[in-house]
Amino acid sequence: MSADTNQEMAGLDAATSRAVGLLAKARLPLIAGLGTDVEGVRAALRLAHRTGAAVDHVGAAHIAGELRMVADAGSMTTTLAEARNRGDLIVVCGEGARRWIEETAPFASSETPYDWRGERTLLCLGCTAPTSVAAVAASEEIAGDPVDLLRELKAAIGGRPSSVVHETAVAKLREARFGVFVTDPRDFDHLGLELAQALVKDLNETTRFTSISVPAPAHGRGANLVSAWTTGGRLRVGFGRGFPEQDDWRFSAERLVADGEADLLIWVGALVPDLPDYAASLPTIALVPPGAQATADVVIEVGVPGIHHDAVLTDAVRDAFTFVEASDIATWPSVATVLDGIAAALDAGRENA
Amino acid sequence: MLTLLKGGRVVDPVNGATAVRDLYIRDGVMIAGPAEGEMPDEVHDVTGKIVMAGAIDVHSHIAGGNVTLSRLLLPELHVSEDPAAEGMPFDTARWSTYETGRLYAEMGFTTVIEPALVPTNALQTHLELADIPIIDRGALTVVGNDDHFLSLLRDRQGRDALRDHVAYHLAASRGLGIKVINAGGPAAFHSGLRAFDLDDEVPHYGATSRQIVTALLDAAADIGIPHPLHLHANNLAVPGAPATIADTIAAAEGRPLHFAHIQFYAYGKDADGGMVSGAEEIIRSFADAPNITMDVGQVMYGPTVTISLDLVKQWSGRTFASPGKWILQDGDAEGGGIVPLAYKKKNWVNELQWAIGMELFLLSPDPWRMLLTTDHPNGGSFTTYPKIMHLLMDREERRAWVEAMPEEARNKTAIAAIEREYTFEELAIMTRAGPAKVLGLSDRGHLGPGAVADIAVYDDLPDRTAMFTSARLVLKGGRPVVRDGKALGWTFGTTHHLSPETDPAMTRRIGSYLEGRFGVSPTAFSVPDAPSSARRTSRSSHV
Repeated sequence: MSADTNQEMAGLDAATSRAVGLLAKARLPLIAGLGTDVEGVRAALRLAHRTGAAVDHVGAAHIAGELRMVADAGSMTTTLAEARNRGDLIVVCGEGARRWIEETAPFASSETPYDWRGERTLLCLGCTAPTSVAAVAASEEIAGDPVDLLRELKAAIGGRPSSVVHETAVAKLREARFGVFVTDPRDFDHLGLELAQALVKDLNETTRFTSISVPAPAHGRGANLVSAWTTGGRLRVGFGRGFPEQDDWRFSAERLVADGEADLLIWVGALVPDLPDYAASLPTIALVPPGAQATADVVIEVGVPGIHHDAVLTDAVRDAFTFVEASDIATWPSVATVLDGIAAALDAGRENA
Repeated sequence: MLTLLKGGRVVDPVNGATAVRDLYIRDGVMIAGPAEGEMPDEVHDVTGKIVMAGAIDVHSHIAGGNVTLSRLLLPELHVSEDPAAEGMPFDTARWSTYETGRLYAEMGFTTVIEPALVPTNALQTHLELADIPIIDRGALTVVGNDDHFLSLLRDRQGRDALRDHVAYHLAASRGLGIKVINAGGPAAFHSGLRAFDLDDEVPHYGATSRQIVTALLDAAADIGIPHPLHLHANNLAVPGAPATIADTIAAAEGRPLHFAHIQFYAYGKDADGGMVSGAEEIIRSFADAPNITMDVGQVMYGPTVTISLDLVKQWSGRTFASPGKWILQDGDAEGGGIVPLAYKKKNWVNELQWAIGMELFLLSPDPWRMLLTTDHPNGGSFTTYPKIMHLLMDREERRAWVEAMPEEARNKTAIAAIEREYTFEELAIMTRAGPAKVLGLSDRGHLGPGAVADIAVYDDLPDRTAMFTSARLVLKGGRPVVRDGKALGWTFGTTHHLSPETDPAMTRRIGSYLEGRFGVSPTAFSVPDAPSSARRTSRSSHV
């Protein structure tokens, strides 16, 4: 171990002690941000169980929109690879979906293992057509609020009356062999997403349709999946009663702080370095990447998963778990190391008491 | 470390008749006896108790993307309400991996196999398996519906190429065997088909279900996979499916083949095409085919959820969803269909399903080949196993259930006439030795020298449900992990998998295919080292 590393370890011990001091006084700690890898989320849930904390993730639309829709109504979805390779009609639902397609270019290749797919058709609801899509045979843009347009299209597909009939769009939907709706959960509430899913389901009565959504930020899908298999439910979750309770409203980080219920924040920011505004209103322990300018009562620099240490993350290309080898191994501790260290110090404190 | 299990009534049919005898364990492994004059370091007095090897489940959906999607779909099915035990975080978190491991262990189960390990999402399954405490785990790699495999078949690339393709995915996903789901059906569903039979062709590939199954039987043999091809056959839940099963058995031509959750295929048709028990027809096909093994997939009453990669079946089943919501995911090959169901005692179809499962157990001539499952959670939770054992071992208990059946269901099954009761020895074969044999896990399922010391000790209670729900003592690798029906704390077992030989040329070929298809390197799909234990295929010398 180098002298530098020794110094870092001593610094970490001191920071851990200060964090434990704050945690020991807290009645309702809040672990939020949660931008971290699988090991980091596992450790956060363990610490939450240990301290009775509430846990929330920064990807609010993913939780309160997309996952709420899944729990209320179910869904029809596909993988990004199937959407890219098999989809012959891409329905871009709203500005967020358009922007994501433009920025990440998931449909930029015309190639597909399914040589029968042919060219793609684009149908853009409430947005312009993204320019990054290859092999586009035809493209249609319909201006308006995407929710209104979805409602009108659903009425037409179901043979129900509607004030507006989008004849060419309806024909495109009917002709598709494998249509894919793309939504950004930030553009809709859970009912809007449910509406899109209801249309997808209706279309499957006569042909094949499915959907993908813009990935949640900061490993959001992964964090919720880890919570689901560890606690039984997705985020947001609270451990105040000694067992996990899932509740989007009760354990919303913003609400817990605004209503004065949470009295300590542990910001897990390995993938979200900027502290939220609400951090200014309560004691805060910030786990942030090296060099991040965080203002908090205790600041602990942690490695960035997949860069400074090996990590399992939902990757941005597939939105599925991937093992990512460190590209620039460094000595900063991982989120899991820091949080497990705090839990161990708490246990040691209890034994000494 | 020498451990003595003293005075129990040992039910271990592999190693002899049931008798009161002592068992010795050295460092987690069964031994014949101590050295002369050697005193045990630890003694468990189990006088008057029933002692068996730890039980093994060959087919239980306990981990992976679709299981967790079900958790997300149905929060109301599993609301937690009890504080965790000291030192056992999440043990009361309903339907968590932690609760799963605890509940299995408390029933005396020590090895459980997840039957749907999807190669493109293998890492999630392994992450979840690693979070299931106490028990050992394994998983079956799902093959046969992906574009690369079907293209090899279409292009007549030959038996070796298909073998190498399967070996690649088995190795990369760290599976313990291979499974195929409604062979070709999910691929056909992506292209718009809504039914798929044994001789139907997958659009664009020209391959039939029969050809896929046959190719995979060859691949399993050529790779030397100890577990037979694990088959989710065509026509699940379709009246008349016993004929499909007979045809598929014939197609196997004597090669080892395991049929999953056979109860869901044992539906015959009466003169009007209505559903009746097809159990006798299934058993006729099964009895004459010693190469065939099956697990039952017993239905038990209550709310549950069906989790399946059989998109064709789940699409048609969506109309029965209760509550009325469901998920259908078009995956990279199969995907997943998640449909909640409530099996009701007042529903004659559900009653008939229950009775058909019972018939299959009780008409089976061979407990080595007809194994206990509920296809958890599809037919019911694995926590109903003790009740199923009770029903099989006690005809009076069963009679009460049969008499409560509605007339409409009772006339369509022969269950009322069956007097058979399972013995302890048959039960030990069906839930221990049989599953171990069919999985190729020769070091478990029995208590002979060399076996791992996974042991379940039960009170000999007339109430078999109570007896098998709460093991008096469970040893995992010789260490006590459950006492008086309660898990003692978190320990972690291993995830068993095979390490078959792979062909470097096929590895390069699949690597370039994956890059083209997904836009990421094949390492994106890899499963890093985790608590795991590589096991041998019959053809590979290395582990």
